Amino acid sequence: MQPNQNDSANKIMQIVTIGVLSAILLVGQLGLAFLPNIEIVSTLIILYTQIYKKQVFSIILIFVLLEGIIFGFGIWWISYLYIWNILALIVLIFQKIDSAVLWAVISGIFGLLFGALCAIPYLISGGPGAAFAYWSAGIPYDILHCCGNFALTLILYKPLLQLLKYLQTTIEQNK
Amino acid sequence: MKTETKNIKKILIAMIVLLVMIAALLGIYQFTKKATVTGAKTITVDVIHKDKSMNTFTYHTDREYLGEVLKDENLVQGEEGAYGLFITCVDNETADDSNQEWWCITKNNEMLNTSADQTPIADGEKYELTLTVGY
Repeated sequence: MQPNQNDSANKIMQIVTIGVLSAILLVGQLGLAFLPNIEIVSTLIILYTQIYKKQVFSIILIFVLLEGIIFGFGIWWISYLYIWNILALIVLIFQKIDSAVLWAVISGIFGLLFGALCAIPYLISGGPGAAFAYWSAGIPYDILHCCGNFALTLILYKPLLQLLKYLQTTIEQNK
Repeated sequence: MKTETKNIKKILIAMIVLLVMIAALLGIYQFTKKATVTGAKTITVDVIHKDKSMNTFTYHTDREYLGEVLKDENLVQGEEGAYGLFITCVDNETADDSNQEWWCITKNNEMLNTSADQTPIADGEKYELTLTVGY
């Protein structure tokens, strides 16, 4: 293959990978939507960031746009614009960690702070009182979110990391 | 061996941080949550329909939560979910979710952060149920 053709093929592969990984995030989110604050998106973003590094921000952007198209672009959607990127940034900072338990704790803490992070648009639109009321009313669900994130990351981190690494290696070899 | 001990130490510290954070949040929740009021009370509920027409209902009740009163009086119907009752129909008007319609609960025209089932009521309070279009 000529260098230009190779570049194009790599670019196409990159776009397809980003699309597929965004779709998996969406399916994972919709699939568990019937459970209150139990989601697999945090675990997947932790894993994606470890494998795909800064490309994860493109995956998150597509996922958030799809969420907006499906559920409407409400005030919650504004928080989605930054909330998952914050998690990806945290993972990039702590990327040397290889313990599933530590990632489960990080995922749990993220779940615990999710409501507080979502309250930021309410802080801007309604002031500190509105943001505090929004956050404090949702604390039981933040704790549930924390427990769900901890358990899912603890169970799925190692097997899914291996699977993603295997797929990444296979793609690299077929280039 | 030394690295292993260091890792175990890190995990223990992380777990303790997580548990302390959970305990702190539980404390904040217990300290700030609105208490329920026992005894007789009267509340008013304004229902604002899609065509902007309004019906006002006054209820005398011993119930402690808004959701209980609305269900007792058959003013609302909906689906029981993990967050309590998700109201789909009020005063015989059903929200069409395909058109992004939903019933918004407010108290003195201020948005509530809790579902009807989780909203404690007090004597003399006024609530509004408004058919809202768009999420």
